[in-house]
Amino acid sequence: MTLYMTAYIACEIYQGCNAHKCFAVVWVSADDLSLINQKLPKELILRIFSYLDVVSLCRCAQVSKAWNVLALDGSNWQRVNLFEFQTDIEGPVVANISKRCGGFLKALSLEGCKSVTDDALKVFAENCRNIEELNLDDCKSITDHTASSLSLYSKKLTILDLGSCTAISDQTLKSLSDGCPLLSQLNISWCDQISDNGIEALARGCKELKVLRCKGCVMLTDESLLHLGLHSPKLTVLNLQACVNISDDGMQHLARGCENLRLLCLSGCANLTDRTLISLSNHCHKLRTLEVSSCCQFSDSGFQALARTCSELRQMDLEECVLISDASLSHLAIGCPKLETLTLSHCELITDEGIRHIGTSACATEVLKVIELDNCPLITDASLEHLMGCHGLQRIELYDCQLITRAGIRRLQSQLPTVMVHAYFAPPTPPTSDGRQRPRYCRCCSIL
Amino acid sequence: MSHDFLAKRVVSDFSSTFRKYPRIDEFGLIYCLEPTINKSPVKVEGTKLGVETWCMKFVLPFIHRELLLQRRGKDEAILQQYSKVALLLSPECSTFWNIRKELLLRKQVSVISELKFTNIILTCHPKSPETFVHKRWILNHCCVSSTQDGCNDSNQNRFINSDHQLQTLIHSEIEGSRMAASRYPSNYNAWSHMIWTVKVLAGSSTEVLLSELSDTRHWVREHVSDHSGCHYRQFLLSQLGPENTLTEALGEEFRFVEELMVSYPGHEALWNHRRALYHLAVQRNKESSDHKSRGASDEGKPKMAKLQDTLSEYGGSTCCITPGGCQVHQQQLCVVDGTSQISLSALACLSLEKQRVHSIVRDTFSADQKIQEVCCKRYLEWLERFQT
Repeated sequence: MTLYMTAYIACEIYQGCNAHKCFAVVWVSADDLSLINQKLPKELILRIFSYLDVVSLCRCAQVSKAWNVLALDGSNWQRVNLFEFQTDIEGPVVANISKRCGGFLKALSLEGCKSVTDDALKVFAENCRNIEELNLDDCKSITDHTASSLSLYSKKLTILDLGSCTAISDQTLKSLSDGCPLLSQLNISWCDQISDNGIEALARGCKELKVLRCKGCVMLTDESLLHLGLHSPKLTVLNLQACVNISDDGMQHLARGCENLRLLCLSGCANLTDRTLISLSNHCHKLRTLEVSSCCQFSDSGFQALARTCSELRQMDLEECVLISDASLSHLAIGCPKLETLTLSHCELITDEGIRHIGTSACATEVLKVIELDNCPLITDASLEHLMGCHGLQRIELYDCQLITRAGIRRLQSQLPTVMVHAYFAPPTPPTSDGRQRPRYCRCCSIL
Repeated sequence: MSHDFLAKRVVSDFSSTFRKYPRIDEFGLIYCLEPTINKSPVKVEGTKLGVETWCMKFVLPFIHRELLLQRRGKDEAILQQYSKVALLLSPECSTFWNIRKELLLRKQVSVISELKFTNIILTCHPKSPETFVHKRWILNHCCVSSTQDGCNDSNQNRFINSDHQLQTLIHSEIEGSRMAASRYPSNYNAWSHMIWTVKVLAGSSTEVLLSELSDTRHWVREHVSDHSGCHYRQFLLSQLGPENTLTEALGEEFRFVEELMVSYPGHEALWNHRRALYHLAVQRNKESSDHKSRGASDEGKPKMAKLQDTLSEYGGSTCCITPGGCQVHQQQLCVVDGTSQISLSALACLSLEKQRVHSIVRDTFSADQKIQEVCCKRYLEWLERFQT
């Protein structure tokens, strides 16, 4: 089915190239008598078509000659996502789409189209000069040539995804910095040939850069962070997951320069210590999301500093920060009143006392939505008691907390009926089969 | 809905366990109706993996549904993980095996690890026919494509490059099947997979046949009433090529079965085994006395070429008998290491066989004489019928 659809799109777009020439002819012969074409002006039909997806458009194009022209009009093809057909997309399809859509195309997703090559994207860049969003995630065949075509023609490019395009190197980033000054979001995750030179060029060239995701770019060092700190003050989202070679010094430069950071992911950067957290607390007060799982050198003093100034924090992932103890939790409870999601998986020193701090904190009663405590071996049913006041709680993870009992979970659920408790105890199937009926009157009445 | 989280968690537990303990070699079910403690149902003890059965009723429907939904999806990692767990728990679903085959063809899974995985499944489900079918599919796939030299080798899943690799592969296959055979009595699937391996993969080479003969000896001694082991040995003997090796092995086998019959009287499997041995002796004796030579010995050929031959002729299997020089061996009773070697004609001689059987009955412990005599009588009747 997919193959058929793709072949069909390719075929339609191929034919589309001739459609302009025979436009007049078609128009004359398109005097079909169907009511919709008589009642609705072509502009409105075109408008309706503009809401359809690729598949529906191609179906409409099969209805009649008039509809074929309207459905394949470039203005309907401003956003094209070929993810559904990814495995079948070959170079000529992209070339034909680009010819068909021309300057109308603003967003194209070729996510996972492994056989799309540099040549196809060159044709594309030449034809679609107004492209703003381009997703080439996992297009394994493309190399630095694609970026040089983009830098020549795509002056309006703002969002680019090159995740897992493992063949690209620093040259790609240099081309982008030369030709795409408006670039604000870039994903180069898992492109492990990228080094500090590329990031330096990018930081110098693309002043608008707001979002940078470079997971698993293992060659990056403190120098990259230095240049980002110097040249990219607008950076709000930065993902450095598994960039194992960065250290505290680099993070200090980064924090000093990028005070607008909202989301920062440092998971798996095991070299970092509390100094990083202190730098962040000194400069990045707008931080909302911090993911530091497996940063096993972070300790209570770092989180104490962080909690003192970063009061905007909403999401924190502290999985496997094995050094943190109840003290960290008490600091976070005091300093971060907006905390919604807290992940403490594998933090083996956490006890009921720490959870008590969270449960009695400012964030607890309304804001806290998700708390993950799996593999915290010291947690007991008392923790669940402490969390009973969290009325906003939606989900709590308790896998492998061996001191938690079935009765404890049941008590929590009776107190907070909407919360989803994830534990190895199978959840009860019907909630009312308890035999114990809820009292008809409310609790305050019973006191009276 | 909420069960799905649990099921998902258990599946991810499986995956992380496999990642953490790559040397897992056994899988089993731990029977328990309800969890007593908030702890993962996936357990590891040394290299043994176990799962508590209470989670099955959540996990199986979940995986089944997800796999069917995602089968055509693009997320191969998910397919890989889910199909693995699904097959561990219920290996009789061909759809899941087909998913594995597709992953293998797309090179998401390596041949070696997949064969290892099938062996793990066999530790829990030793009789699973689908598992053996999958094994043969893999071996056919990788061996056929890797032995077709010259043509389109760049495309094919070229995988066996050396004789050494083939040897390890044969060894692991036979080991896995033998383990399955000892876990389930009369495990036809396991034994026929062993036969297939010896015949197709090893090309019935003399070394493999002889080493197998000595390796299964212990198994037969431990399972005297399981005829499938005996049948396997009959197959091995019937495949033995050069006459002197066959005679030696056959004579040894006669002695072996005699010893077992005396120690374990009245086991029908042993007596049936003897029938087959005698039948083989008579047949080979006739063939060698006919002095028909067919073709040259296979000895000189390398194993890979031999494997290819066998693959091409598999189906209408033939075995080559090499006469020549055996006449001398037949006449004399040479002494090797103090044990007298019997000639093929002596083994096939009716009156000698009768004598030997009677001596078995004589040697049996007196309390068991009666049952042994019944078996013996039946055997003698069969001998008479066979002769005519």
